[in-house]
Amino acid sequence: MVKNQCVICDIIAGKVPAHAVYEDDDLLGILDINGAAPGHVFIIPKQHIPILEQVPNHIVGKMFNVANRISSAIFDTLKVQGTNIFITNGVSAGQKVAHMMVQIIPRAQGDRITLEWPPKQLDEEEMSTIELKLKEEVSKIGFGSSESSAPTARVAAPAAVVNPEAEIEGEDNYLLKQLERIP
Amino acid sequence: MAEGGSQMSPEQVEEMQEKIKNMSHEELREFQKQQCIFCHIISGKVQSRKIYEDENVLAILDINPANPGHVLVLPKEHYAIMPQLSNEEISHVFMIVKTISNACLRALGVTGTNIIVQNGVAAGQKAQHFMVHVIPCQDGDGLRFEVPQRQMKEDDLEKVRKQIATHMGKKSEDSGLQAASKKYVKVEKPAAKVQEPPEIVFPREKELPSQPVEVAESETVEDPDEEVEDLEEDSGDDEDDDRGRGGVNLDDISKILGNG
Repeated sequence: MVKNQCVICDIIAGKVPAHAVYEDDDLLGILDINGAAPGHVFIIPKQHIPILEQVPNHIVGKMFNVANRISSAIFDTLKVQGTNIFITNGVSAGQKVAHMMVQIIPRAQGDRITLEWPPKQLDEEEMSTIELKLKEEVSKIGFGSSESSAPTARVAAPAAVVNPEAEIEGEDNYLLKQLERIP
Repeated sequence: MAEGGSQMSPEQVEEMQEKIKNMSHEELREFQKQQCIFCHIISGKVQSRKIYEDENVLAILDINPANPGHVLVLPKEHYAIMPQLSNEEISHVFMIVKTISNACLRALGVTGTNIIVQNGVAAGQKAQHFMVHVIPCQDGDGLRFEVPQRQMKEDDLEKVRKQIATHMGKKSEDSGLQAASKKYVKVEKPAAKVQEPPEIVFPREKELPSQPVEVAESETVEDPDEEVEDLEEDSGDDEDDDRGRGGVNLDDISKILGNG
């Protein structure tokens, strides 16, 4: 995905008008013109970054602090009953544009927003397998290592078709083999 | 309330409610803590499957997951809602969320993750302990979150924008954060008034999951001090890779995504 094809980057560049509620050197917070409720805001990094895993840690921290402040501001000014902070990371998670964003969604009882899920019951063995896999992976990734911000290329950014045969060196290779094609 | 809720007589319930009403802020928080299943998980009284643990944060598998690999990231301190956390705590929690999400993508063969915070019952919050959900997703998993779209009127947008931006401006002094600059917004003068965190209805304890699961010792206890150093190093590395603030090697990404 190239930066100059990204509608979000056009907003950041000022080519597309937007209703900004917050801006600093790294981030922009704007009202969604097709939001789920009045006050639906999304926060975007100014740099073109498709998914969360690629956002540098210091911007991750800042981003969620800003999300928290916008969420509080929505509570205080719009008198809503709740807020969701919501990220869709990858097409299969519902991501629509290839620019990472944090959504802040004002909530009220009986709105038609569904951010809940039917609970599943997994058997003990399945849970144990997942636990082991995740624990191992987390300790491998570590925190703040350069690897943690390395491309996790299997997550397909929207509107891009990925070639699974792409030759990439190193340990990300196995991820690339599973790259997902985009509808 | 958690244990014997159903056995209490109406008089006892009333007495309890009266007691709660008269509690100071600190007492109430202490009381909530005693009743909080997640605080019991954190203290080890209730077993859980731990994915990551450090001094301030615990990440565990949800026993009733939305999808396999659904992880809850919890601050160890008892907070009911996000505005109660300090800036540092929020940064720390979400750095771990990022790593957990990364681990899900790498280890579970999924193609995406949803990350959800629920502030308040109306937002779907079920427990009184603040947490971040990391939910692995893939096509055909049947999990769909509905965020309907509405066409907003220009006047309404501008009105709401002004309200939020003004409020952000008010809060910017103590936080070091700025409200939107005049490139987008007429910046309102920040007022010094500090606002209390908003009042939110907390969910009742009885809705909490309570089945104990097998204990798993976490291997990855890290020293938070070390982590801060790592973090700084990370930013340094990032800058080497991709000038400026970026952490991503965009060349790689666009190469990958651009093929075909």
